[in-house]
Amino acid sequence: MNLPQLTAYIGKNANVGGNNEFSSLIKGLKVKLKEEDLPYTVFLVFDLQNKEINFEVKDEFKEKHLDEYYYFGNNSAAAAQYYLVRESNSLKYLLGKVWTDLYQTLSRYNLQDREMGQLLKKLADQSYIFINKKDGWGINPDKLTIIKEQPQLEVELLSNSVKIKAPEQEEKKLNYESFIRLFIKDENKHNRFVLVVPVVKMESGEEVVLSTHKDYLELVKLVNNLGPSSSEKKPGEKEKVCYLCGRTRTDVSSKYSKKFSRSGINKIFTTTTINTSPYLRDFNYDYVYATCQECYQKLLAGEKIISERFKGRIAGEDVFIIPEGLFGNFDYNHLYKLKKDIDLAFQISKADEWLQQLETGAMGDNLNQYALNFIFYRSDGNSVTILETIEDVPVLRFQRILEKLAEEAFKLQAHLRSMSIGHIYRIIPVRINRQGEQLDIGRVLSFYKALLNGEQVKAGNLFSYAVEALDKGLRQLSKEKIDNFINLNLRRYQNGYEDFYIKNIIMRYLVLIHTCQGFGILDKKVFGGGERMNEEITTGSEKVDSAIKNMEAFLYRQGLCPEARALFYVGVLLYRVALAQWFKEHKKKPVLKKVHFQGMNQKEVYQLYNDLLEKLRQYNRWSLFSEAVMNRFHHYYSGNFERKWPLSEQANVFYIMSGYAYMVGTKAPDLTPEEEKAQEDIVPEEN
Amino acid sequence: MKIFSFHLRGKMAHFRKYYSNSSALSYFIPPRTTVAGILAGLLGRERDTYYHEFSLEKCQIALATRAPIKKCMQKLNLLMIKGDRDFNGSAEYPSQTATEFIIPHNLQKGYIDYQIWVVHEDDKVMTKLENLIKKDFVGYFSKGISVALGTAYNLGWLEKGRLIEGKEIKATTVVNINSVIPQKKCVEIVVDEVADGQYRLIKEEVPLEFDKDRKITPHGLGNMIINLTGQPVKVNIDSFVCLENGENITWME
Repeated sequence: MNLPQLTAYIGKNANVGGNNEFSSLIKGLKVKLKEEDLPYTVFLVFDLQNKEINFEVKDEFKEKHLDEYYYFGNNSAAAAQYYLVRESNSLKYLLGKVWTDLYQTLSRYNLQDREMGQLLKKLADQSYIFINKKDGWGINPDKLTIIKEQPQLEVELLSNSVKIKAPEQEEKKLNYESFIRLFIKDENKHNRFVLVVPVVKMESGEEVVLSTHKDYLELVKLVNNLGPSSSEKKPGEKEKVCYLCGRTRTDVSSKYSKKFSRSGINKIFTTTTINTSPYLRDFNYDYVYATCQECYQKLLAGEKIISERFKGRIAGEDVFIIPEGLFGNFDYNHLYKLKKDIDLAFQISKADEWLQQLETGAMGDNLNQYALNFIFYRSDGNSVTILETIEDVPVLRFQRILEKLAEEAFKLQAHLRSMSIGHIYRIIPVRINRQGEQLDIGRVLSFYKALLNGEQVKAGNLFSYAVEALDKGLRQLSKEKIDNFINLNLRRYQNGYEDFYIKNIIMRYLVLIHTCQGFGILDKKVFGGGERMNEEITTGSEKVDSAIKNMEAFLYRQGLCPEARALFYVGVLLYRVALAQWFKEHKKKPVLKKVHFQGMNQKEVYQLYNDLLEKLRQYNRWSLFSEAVMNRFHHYYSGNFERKWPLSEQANVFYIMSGYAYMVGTKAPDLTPEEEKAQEDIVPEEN
Repeated sequence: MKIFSFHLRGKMAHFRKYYSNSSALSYFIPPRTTVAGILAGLLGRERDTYYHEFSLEKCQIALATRAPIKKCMQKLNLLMIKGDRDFNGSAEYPSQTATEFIIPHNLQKGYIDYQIWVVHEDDKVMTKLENLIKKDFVGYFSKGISVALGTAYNLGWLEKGRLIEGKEIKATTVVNINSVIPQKKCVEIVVDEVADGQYRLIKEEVPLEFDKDRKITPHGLGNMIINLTGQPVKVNIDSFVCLENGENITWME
């Protein structure tokens, strides 16, 4: 993956087809509108005929207004705020410093004597605006119509609102949109005034939309290094090599990187910080990374397109998903389709739905030519920190992972409805801090990376994650309010559905471990260590025999080793006791407290087994089924404490809980009619 | 032609991508400029004095990954250095920097292993390198630097230095290439009959050469095709070097 090359390539392709040279700067509106809201574009009118400043509704807001009036958003950081079109909630700039900044910027580029500069001068001379004030009002509030109509009105500009004080009335603080409403006299709150365009109405009646003035546009071009560059070499000018196109030119510089968005993809390679200068000399940034003006423009355009079309959210974090052609040229439109499909793959609940869509979609035939790059990042608006990069994932591998997950989930269809790649985030516990930031999201992203890139995964880690998910999840569910581990989707398991949480977690981990093993990325073989039961159990009860046979078939299909099978049967007994407790109005199933989710050694497991036997006696559930399960436990466990136990303490808990999970929603053959009815009251959750 | 070959090994590596800034991303392989820096350091050359000596014209370098590698992201607490005086660590706030490391697939048991082949037009350089590295023991062999895989804290070592005979072949043909492959030389990758897991191909643009003032040259960046599993890649290629042990390599250019 080469981020600048990719960004520039996307930028270059995006510019094809009717876009103008300002397209890379045009921003979208940030204001959030409700369904019933009707947005409008309004003019801030400097009316030279009536000698006043007013707001007028221009038109219902349409997306094309952003291009038509050149909406560039607000300048970030300490940059001059000379852009003329603003969203209404950024009106403070238009009422404040825009005019001084605009005139000074014009002067900096020697454009102050042209038409635009003259017009501003005229407005200043006639006291409509101030062009040399740094703070406070940038327009003259005395010219505002509301003050002309009501001269005793006091209007004060605050940082986020306007303070209005009418005689004999209490002062009010109005947000900017409400302030505009005073002029337009529109009481309907669903009419929203979202975009403000400054206009000068000349004495002749002619309207000059300042943001479309040729001098203004030229200034924007100059400041942002847009438009064609001069490749002619002036005497004494040094030529340098552009890091992107490799051409030798005079306009190669790192200075352009100042213009990139602070939260966009280009921020990753903005170079004008001190640590990129050799020997800490605060110069020679061009030694590290410099582009020519043409490539800079491509990067700028690419940044915009990537922010709009290649940004997504995976595992609760922002991510750039950028497909890339492995060799040769690649189709930009195709990339966008791919990105949308990948988004879907992480969001959709069923892998097979995605695959079906993939097959019917147009993209299927070109899959092998593309690789996917995922760049997970966080931005505070001022800088970008990369959390993880997952590079060069062939789309075919992505597809195969989805298929494998679906295939493994299908084998567990009696216990699990579906599993897709997005579910992985739902089963690895991620703690959040008070600000809602995910603290250990790295473990999820690392796992995605290992799976997508075919890197080695420790099976022990997966068992640890599984039991941790049970531990943390059940603790949260026992609280009145869920306040952490939000990613585990715990709300749906509140009020008595904890068992289905356990089932979902265990079954999904079974699918995941099988998938990892299938791709050969586990550090050791986990499944495939057991044989089919060679003798049938005959207890005298067909129901019990059949239940044990089903369990044995399940264990064989899953490939559990004998030790894991023994633990599975402990889990079955655990569930039997838990159900009895639940029926006896111990809704919290206190027996679950005997399971140490941090891990249990062999002796602790045996202790648990003995405790369960005691509880079965206590609840009068020492039945034929219980004995058959105990028989299976002893068969696999062999009772040998001296033998080296092959499973880790976490794996022990996982397999115990797999027996428990298996029984959730499965009817035990020794249920009393009352228990059976009680169990039916628990409506199985959708997976 | 006589080619000098050796292995550069270590536990961790970080070859910072030239464009990455506050988050330090890494290449999978040491760029050619890094290898040249290591060679120059071994020979005891001063910083910023050797770029011309190891230019594409005078020196040819090929590189292969010989063990499977992967990347991991770690946050490092770095000193906040804004001036010379900040090196004493007295600055109030450290800089938390997301840093990408190259590590072996199995960090406990494995190690990173790059095999490097070098031909220098100056026989004296070749002889010096040979005398430095062609020894029986594993170590640093350095006259100037401790060998590091990228940044100084990723110490590495050199092993198995030896001279090998090679023959340049200029003809478009399908062969197995053991080294990383410049994309411009590669006509096509032959992916038929590839065993599962044999390929993990990526494309990376790496720096190749600086001019004497440490500025990138017009040919100073090149796209390389790298197989991260360390296995040879079957390609249709327009030129390559056939080694006496039957392996084929391509120079990074």
